[in-house]
Amino acid sequence: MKRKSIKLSILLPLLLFLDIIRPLGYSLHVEFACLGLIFMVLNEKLWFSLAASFILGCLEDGFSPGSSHFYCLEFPILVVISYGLRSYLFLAGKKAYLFFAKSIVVTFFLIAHIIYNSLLVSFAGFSLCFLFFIQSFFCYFLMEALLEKPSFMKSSGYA
Amino acid sequence: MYLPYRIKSKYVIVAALIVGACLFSFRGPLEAVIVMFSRQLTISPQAKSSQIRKLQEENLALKLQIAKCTHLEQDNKRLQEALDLEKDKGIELIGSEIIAFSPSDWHRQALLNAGSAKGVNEGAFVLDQEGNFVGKIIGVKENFSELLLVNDPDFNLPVIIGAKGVGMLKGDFSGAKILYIDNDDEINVGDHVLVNMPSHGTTLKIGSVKKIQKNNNDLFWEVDVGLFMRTVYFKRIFIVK
Repeated sequence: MKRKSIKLSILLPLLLFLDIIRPLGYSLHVEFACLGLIFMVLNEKLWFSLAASFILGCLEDGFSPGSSHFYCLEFPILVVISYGLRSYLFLAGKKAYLFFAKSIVVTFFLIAHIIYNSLLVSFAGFSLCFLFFIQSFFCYFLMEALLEKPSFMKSSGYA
Repeated sequence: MYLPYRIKSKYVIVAALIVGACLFSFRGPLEAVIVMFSRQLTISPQAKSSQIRKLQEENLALKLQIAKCTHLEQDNKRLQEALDLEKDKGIELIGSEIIAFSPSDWHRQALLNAGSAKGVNEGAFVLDQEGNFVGKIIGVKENFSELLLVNDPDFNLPVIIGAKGVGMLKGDFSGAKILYIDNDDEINVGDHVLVNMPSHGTTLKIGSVKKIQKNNNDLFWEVDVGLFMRTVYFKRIFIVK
């Protein structure tokens, strides 16, 4: 658990760095730091996710010159609500249900982020919102598949 | 000449003996020649692998050199274009590079590595290497400045359309829109959208009119603009001084 937390602490700044350099320009509508936070909500304890979201929000605010997005407030609030949603959905406990529960949390986080940002810039471009949601959704599950160890390693005690 | 088989074989043996004796006398030099050739022709597996490695290294070095030359060539071309722009329009430019983008997808902003120390002013226009309008400077620090790209929703600028029209350009992520266009203005699809620079006595290209539409209840036309600047992969950009 501790090792995983350290790994995630290293991963989040790297994801923020990806957002800043934008290797694919504005053709990829994904905020990697946001995806990292969702991953944290679904895999970590609340206090850890909350602290990480606040620090990440402050860093994002620092790198957004001339704009007042208050990510340092938005991210912790979204993390708390998503964590509540996750706890409620995960109580069902069935493994087959887990993927849908995760999808609901990811969808909630992304849609809340889209609505918050669209309201702040007073602009709700349908194509941008749609592309952001679809691309982020798939990128999240791709990232999760890459970050989590394969099942055969877990079963053989390598995890 | 017909010879019986036994006699023929005798001749052959005698001839072979004579040749053998001749060769025996030259054995030393012959051996030396054969050894020399064999050294050159046969390569041991170790020598072979080291030779391959050496060739691979050489190949990689050459490939890198080619890549470097290509990059330099492209850079040279871009700088040449910027120089032409400076000469043609008589505007002084400051070369700069983008060091970071805004992490939010709802903003089109970037940080440049040129600031007030290089003479950058707030409100200065920024061009790409082809001379297309990219955005304007919204904040200046000593060593860096903040660029607002033309497709940011906060971007506003009065522009000229075609020959007669004048309107307000506003960014909208995918491109830009022109607001407050009257019915009287003669605007056609494909007209160039320009920004005036009275201090330099010239205009800069932003894009061209892509679509014109108007709803029944609207007072003004809504004009969509296709921007000339390419998606943000700028290698080098130029700030108008």
